[in-house]
Amino acid sequence: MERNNIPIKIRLGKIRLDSPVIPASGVFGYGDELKSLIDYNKIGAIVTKTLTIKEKKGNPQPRIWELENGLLNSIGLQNIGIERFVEKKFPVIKKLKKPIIVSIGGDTEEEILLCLQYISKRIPYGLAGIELNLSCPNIGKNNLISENAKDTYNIVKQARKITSQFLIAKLSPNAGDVGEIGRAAQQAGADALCAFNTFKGLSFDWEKQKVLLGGVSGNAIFPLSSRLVYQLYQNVSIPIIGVGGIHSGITGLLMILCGAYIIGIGTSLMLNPQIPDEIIEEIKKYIKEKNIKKWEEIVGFINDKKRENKLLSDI
Amino acid sequence: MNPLEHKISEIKEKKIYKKNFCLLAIKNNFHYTALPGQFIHVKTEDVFLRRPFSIAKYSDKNLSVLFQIKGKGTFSLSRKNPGEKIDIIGPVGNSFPYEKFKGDIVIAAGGIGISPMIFLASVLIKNKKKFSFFYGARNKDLLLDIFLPSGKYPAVVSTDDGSKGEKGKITDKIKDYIKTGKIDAIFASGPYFMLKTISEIAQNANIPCYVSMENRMFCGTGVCQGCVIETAEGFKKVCTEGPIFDAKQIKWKETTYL
Repeated sequence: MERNNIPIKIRLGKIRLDSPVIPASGVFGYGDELKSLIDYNKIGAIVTKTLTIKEKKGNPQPRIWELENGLLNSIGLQNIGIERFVEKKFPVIKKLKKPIIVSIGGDTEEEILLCLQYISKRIPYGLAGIELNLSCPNIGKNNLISENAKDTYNIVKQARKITSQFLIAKLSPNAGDVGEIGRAAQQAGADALCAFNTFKGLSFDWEKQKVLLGGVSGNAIFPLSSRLVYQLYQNVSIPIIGVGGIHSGITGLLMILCGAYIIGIGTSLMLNPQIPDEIIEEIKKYIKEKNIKKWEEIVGFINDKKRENKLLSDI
Repeated sequence: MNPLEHKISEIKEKKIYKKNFCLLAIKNNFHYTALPGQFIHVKTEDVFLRRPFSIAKYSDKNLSVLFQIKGKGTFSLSRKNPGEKIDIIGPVGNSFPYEKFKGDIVIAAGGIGISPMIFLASVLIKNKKKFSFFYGARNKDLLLDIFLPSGKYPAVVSTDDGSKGEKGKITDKIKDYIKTGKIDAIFASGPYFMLKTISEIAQNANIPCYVSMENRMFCGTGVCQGCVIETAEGFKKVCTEGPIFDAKQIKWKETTYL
């Protein structure tokens, strides 16, 4: 397997990644469905769709709605349930010999923690990460856990007691102050943050006169999510997985320069399966141009936080 | 199902029919053979998502899609010219299970729903299967009967307003026809409510019926769960668990949010 996508070592926790580009949860199925379309050498890890303690039927139609430059979705976490995943899917994706991040979620805090307990028991070690989805906008609740710092702190704290595996908190971009939420997750013991889930949005079916609510993804949200990653980076010291509207080599690079340690591709991966390669090429060019020697140097390269530090160290 | 392939393919030929329909022949650079009922997921300019199009004609050299120019995506695709390239994923989905049936098959198509049935009929002809082709549209401007493949099979063409072919709904013609002899299966493609009617007709006559379903689609690869429809076995993905469904399994609705 080619391991030289980027001429610099990238690690997430203890795991060495072949690439700083990973799929976002939800667009990669259970991990092996897109084998023939996407070059797995170009992605750093497999990320499963969010799994819940019990199978979830998902929301009724309409589930997706095309926007001018993005997508509104309301899938409702349809999935086969954690048990069937562990029994049927996990053995298959394990064979692909890629780091695996399992995303878990639920309607309530209890459900999420039950799911975490289950997976910790069945797969006690060896995962590249467990992503706690604290931010699905489509499960019928108005306030998401990660819109509130205290709730975020509490669930991550409890999760930390359950597992010693690499714990990623997936945050909502809809919080008033994402910095505060990020700090809460970090203080409670999260190893990394996945920033972000989709933005709450609305569209309208004029033909049927129906209001459509869901999560907005795709190109349109890139300036919003990159700005929030920029802000989050100034508030935390744990790695950020930057997700939200990345759709080209240059937007992928920019997300890293804003402060993302690695980046997740959601909607665009479906529209352009070659996108991981395009981003890797862009990063390689930049690394060469700026003579970057360590991955940590490029992360947050244009962020004021880093610039201030640099200025300080100059003195 | 064959593994999906992502290709950049050259447009070989373009023809516009009756101002509003477009046939694009694209170089077939897929490694795997496509089956009747499968579709390709096409990237077009001016719209955000890919668009699914049934394969209407298929050979080792080219594959064609036939579509109605309806919105921005189809308009933009219809402006492409031979020599230009398009980005496609495919062949996606399952296919009409024609091999399961030995006797007489009825092909039912409505309007632009004829697309996958052109491919299906040509495969049936090649395999020396007995079938009859029922094709209807609202009026002659929406009728694409020139695409009925040449061969010796009974064909009934109708328009709702009688502007060409027999007058009346194609579903009524089918209802009359199946009384006349033993039919092994009905394969249908067309507007939702036509499929719903055919499904009822088939079920009343106790004839197996398979329909080609449509839905709003995002990934077209089976991962996003956006295009599901309700069936007796829960939500099923139109893209990779369909688009061909056993009509009995579908929970038919009064509206088209499936």
